[in-house]
Amino acid sequence: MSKEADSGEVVQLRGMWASPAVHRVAWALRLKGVEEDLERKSPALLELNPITKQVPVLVHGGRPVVESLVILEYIDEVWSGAAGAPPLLPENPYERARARFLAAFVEDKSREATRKVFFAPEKERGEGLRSLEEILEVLEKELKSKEGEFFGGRSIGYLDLAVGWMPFWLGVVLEGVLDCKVMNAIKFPTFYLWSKFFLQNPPEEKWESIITLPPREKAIEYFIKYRQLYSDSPK
Amino acid sequence: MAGLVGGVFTAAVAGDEEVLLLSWRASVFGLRVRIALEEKGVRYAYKEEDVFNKSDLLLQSNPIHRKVPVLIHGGRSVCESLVILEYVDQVWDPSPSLLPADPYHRASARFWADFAGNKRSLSVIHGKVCIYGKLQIYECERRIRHNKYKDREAAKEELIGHLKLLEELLGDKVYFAGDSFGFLDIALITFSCWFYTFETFGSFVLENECPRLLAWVRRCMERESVAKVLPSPQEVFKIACMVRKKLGFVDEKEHAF
Repeated sequence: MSKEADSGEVVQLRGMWASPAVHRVAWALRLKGVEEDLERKSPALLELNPITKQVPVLVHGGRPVVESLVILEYIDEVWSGAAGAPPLLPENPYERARARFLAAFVEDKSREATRKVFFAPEKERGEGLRSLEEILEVLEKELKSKEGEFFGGRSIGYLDLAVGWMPFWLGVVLEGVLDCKVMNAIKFPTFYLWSKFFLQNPPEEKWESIITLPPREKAIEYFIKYRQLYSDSPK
Repeated sequence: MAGLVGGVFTAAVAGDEEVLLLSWRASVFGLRVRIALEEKGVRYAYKEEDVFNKSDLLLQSNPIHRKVPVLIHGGRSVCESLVILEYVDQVWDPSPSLLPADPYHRASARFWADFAGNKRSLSVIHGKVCIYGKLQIYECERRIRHNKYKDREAAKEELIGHLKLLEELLGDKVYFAGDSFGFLDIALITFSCWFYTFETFGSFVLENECPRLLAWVRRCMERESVAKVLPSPQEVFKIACMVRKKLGFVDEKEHAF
């Protein structure tokens, strides 16, 4: 049952089921009401080699688009008139620049920080955790300046999708794998509230099952194995 | 642009709002912004920053990264060169448009522009080749300039590899997007004024390795915006030597100039 995009071409999302970057792209597609062609997906396609399979690739009309944040912009531009879905990026140039800037900042800083937290021995984890907290401080401040519950204002936008991985992957997975807490509701109350809104979706019919997540126990199990597998290899 | 160092020109006006760019003479990232502003015909003021002694204005306008370039427009600051390029493209005269019209080519331009300057892992290129590599051009050139011999050699190989990849991406086209000079050309051309420095420190000749890329560089240099903005390779080399000295490296090549 494949529904094709407005442009009449088939859409496929490839990537690892447990990857946060893959989910952010999946959420964007759902927000825009774009259905993936699941028929053509086989387990073999999904099982790319261990290094590349974490990276989402959006294949649209046979052409691949890579880098999840680049893909989000692509989706926003291609499905710009999508029924009922507001634009992901703000119209205002300054707000748009700010959203891009913050998404890139979080992406770069958290990559390094989570690597540190994940692979460093317990006593060295502190630095990584502090980096993650610094990110949350920036996001907390940014949210406070918004009208509405989301980074996108009253609806989910680009920045919400860009940082939307944090509640589940930091809050659930990291705690499950390492038993260390990052998402502090008291230190970051606005962010905590936002995460509730984001994960539960606004209670309107059309927003149903947009923010899907991987199964909790399976994800924790996966990342425990991943950590064991790669903690011995030099990076 | 003589007479800029340490000074601020009288504020230029775009529409009703002033435009001020904080940057550093040899910053590949800052130079991107200047080329874009020139391409769009934006009148702007320029403030040269001393990267070893950053101004309060810079630190306040970019508190997260504390780096140049920063574009201050109507009192609000925009940071990160590629974000600024998109901002400039959106705010000012749509002609010329820096990014191509087609979303797929826009995505491609964004991906490659980011690759050149960013320490991200590169996993898939156009669906054909899978590469896992961490260091891109900017990081390679830093290693060439600052590090010991062995690491310098490795960095040199990586750099040449990346440039060859870009050469392949360019193919037979005039510019990266085809016939029109645009976003990706701007993002990449600013590295060219550093090539002489890489070659001198790394002991190699790029003309031997990527002649078609250098032909593209010469084509871009014929554009007014590029010729006006880019410092000469010799000037960049002098600046690079000065920076190395300040960072405490002994420079064996400097005496020749």
